[in-house]
This record gives sequence, structure tokens and C-alpha cells, in this order.
Amino acid sequence: MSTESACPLTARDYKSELKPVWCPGCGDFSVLMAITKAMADVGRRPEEIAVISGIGCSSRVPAYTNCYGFHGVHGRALPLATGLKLSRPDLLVIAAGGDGDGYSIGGNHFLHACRRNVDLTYIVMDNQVYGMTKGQPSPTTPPEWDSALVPGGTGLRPFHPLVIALAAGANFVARSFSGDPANTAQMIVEAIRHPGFSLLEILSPCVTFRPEERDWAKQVHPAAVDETSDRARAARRVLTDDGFNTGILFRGDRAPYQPSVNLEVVSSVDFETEFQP
Amino acid sequence: MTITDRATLLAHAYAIESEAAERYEELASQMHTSNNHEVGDLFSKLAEIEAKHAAELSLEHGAANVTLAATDYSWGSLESPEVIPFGDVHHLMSPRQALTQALAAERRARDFYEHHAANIPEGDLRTLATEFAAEEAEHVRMVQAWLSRLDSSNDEEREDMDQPMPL
Ligand SMILES: Cc1ncc(C[n+]2csc(CCOP(=O)(O)OP(=O)(O)O)c2C)c(N)n1
Ligand code: SF4
Repeated sequence: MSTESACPLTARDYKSELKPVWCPGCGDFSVLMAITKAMADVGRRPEEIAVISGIGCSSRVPAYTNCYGFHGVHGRALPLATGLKLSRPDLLVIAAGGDGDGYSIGGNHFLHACRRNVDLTYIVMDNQVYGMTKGQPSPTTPPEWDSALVPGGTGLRPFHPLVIALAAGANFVARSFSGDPANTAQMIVEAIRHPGFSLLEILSPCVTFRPEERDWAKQVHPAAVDETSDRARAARRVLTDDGFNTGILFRGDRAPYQPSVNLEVVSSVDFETEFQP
Repeated sequence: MTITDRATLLAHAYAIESEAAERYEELASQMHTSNNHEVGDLFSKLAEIEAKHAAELSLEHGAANVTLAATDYSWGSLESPEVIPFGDVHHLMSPRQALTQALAAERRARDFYEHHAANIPEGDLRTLATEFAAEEAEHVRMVQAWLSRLDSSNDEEREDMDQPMPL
């Protein structure tokens, strides 16, 4: 038996004092729990980690951890995280947010983050809706989803984040479900440990604007096939799956992008003088 | 995993009670934030009961002083058995739904101790595990009694007054 002193960091060490204001039942609670558990398992101290987000319910995650954090501009989690990682490669940088933030307004940044393959972990809490702004459809919303704001549904083909990430060059691609926090935590650990750009898509129900997503617990299932390092094979698999397969899909071997030049450190005072009239 | 010593049993017992208290408090606060005060009050009451239980364990057995590494707890998940998973509640839930979840949580705790008691050889340790199982069985009966006192006005999920207006 080991005692707490032999076990230096626990999930609790990464939680801030702030209480989440998410709706009770929101999948993001369990994702937060999985993130803090994964941080403890990885063993980096809170001050060695930065959590970067855009805007949305899910993008509130940085405030609920006591790591360094930046709650940025809508859709801009990835450029912020990329800049930070390039200038501070010693930090563990995690970007987090929703499907609206990442695939809609941030869609272009998503493509190029995959392409650049900087050593980041990107956690997307996909609830197939804009939760924060009260239920507009997002790029991953099914075409037939009928609601007061989209009577009859959008009729639009959903965006397929995992295939797009593979095509654009992401080095690690996985899917999990918020209702399974233990496996989600394990996948976050794997995503962090794998070099390069890692995408973890977490199905995380919005119980308020998509109450039917409470049934996801009955629909998700572990993928019947093992992970692959063959990008084309992974893309074929995920194109034909039902969207509820969970597990690690792809682990590539692209070398992460990290410029070898030493970036000159400019103090914030110097930087501000550039903007003086 | 079989529990073979008193410190390990106490560490499990304290984690079960204190984590249940903490989760009930979190759920109560979430429900109050969402204006579901009836369910919020129920969860607060349950939080108090679990916190009292944790304090008793600490006072009678010094249980608060024994903790294990996260991986050494015998539940195979991130959460101890008496905790209601975050995803099993929702902001519109009725008192009956909330107590049904609480009942399931108490039963999981009772089953946990019963399972371990059955696997511990005769002796003081088994007696202690059996005592813990009996306490959880008492909580099961308490929640069942609360449920039986609810009238049908407590069955309906609340109406969501905050949905977008139809176009
Ligand atoms: C530039 C800009 N455009 C629009 C918004 C409004 N807005 C805030 S959050 C959001 C969408 C959030 O959806 P998602 O990222 O899926 O997160 P969720 O709330 O569902 O977790 C939008 C459109 C904004 N804050 N800034
Ligand atoms: S609106 Fe949806 S996504 Fe936002 S906190 Fe509520 S349940 Fe979660």
C-alpha cells in the first residue's frame, strides 16, 4: 500500500476554486474531471501546463483548472496555443473548446494546426450544437435536427472532424465519450504523450439544447478494430463508422514542427512601444 | 482486489463517504444555479448526511489519516461507488428522479462493502466491513422511505422556461 505522500499529484491538485457554471448533466463536467485526472497521471505540475481556449461553454475549462490558462477569442484557441508552444516549448500546452469554436469560426485554424503539427493536444467537446448561444446548429449537427431555431433541420452535410484532421496531417486522432471519464482520461494521457498535434474528439452531451444526447450513453461503443498508423486506412474506417466508435484511431510518426532558431525574447514593455503613436 | 488490512478498508470507507459528500455538494450547487431548488435542497441534505458519516469514520477510526494512491482504490473507475455520475443528473430533474439516483448510489456503496465482507476471512476486519455494509443498508432504507413519501407532484420533470422561442 502506498500513502498519499508517495503519490505526489492527484486530480484535485489541478482543480481551481471556481465552481463550473455548466448546466447539471452537461458532459463537460466529466471531461473536466478526465482532464485533471490525466494531468495527474502525466505528472507535470500545474505551473508547467497551459490550457488555452476560445469561447463557448466548453471553452470555460481553463478557469476551472489552476494551471496557466487563457480564455481567448472565439475560434482562436489553436493560434494562441500554437504561438505559446512555439515560444515556450517547455510547457505542456492543451487547447480545449467546442465544435462551434473549433470547426466553425475556428475551422481554418483547425486545418492549419493539423498541417503544422506543433506538439499540442486539442480536446474538442463535441455536443453538435452551440450551447452557449442557446442552441444554434454547429458544423457537426445532423442535417435533420429539427428545433425552434432551425425548423426542419439544416439539411446540410455535417463536417467530419476526424477525417479532416487525418487529411490535414494531425499526428494522433481519437474519439471518446464524456460518460466514460476513465477511458477519456487515459486517451488524454495518450494524446499528450504522443508528439505532434493530437486531436481528441469527446462526445459531450448538451443536455439543455440537445436533451436527446442523454441517450449517447447507450449508443457509444468501443471501436472493434485496433488503432493504425496508416493514415488512409484510418480515414476509410472513420468515414464509414457510425460516429459512436470510441478509441484511438490513428497514431502517426510525423516529426512535430518546432523551429530550431532561438526566438529572441522581447519584453512586453518593448513590445508595447511598437504600438505607441 | 481483496481488502486484507484495516488501513486499506478505512481508506476506502473514508473515500466513499467524503467523495459522496463532495459530489452531492457539487450537484446541489449546480441545481441551485439552475433554479432547481427542490432538488438542490435534497442534494444538500444528502451531502450533510454523507459528510457526517465521513466525520464519524474519522472520529471513531481515524480514517481521514489513511489515503491510498488513486490507482490503489479497488473501484475500476475514476469514481467511488457512492458518487452519482455527473452525466446522470440534469437541470430539469424531478425530486423522484434525484432520489432514484441517490438510492442507486447508496445501493452501490452497500454492495461494495457486502462484496468485500464476503471475501474477508472471519475476524475483526470482516466485522468492520459488515458494519459498514449495514450502515449503507440503513441509508438505502432511509432513501426508500423518502421516496415513498413523495406524492405525484414530485414526479414530473420541470418545464424548461429558457428554450429559444420558435421562429
Ligand atoms: C467573434 C464571435 N462570434 C460569435 C460569438 C458568439 N458565440 C459565443 S460561443 C459561440 C458558439 C459556442 O459553441 P461551441 O464552441 O460548440 O461551444 P459550446 O457552448 O457548445 O460548448 C458563439 C457563436 C462570439 N463570442 N464571438
Ligand atoms: S448549454 Fe449545453 S453545453 Fe452549455 S453548459 Fe448547458 S448543457 Fe453544457
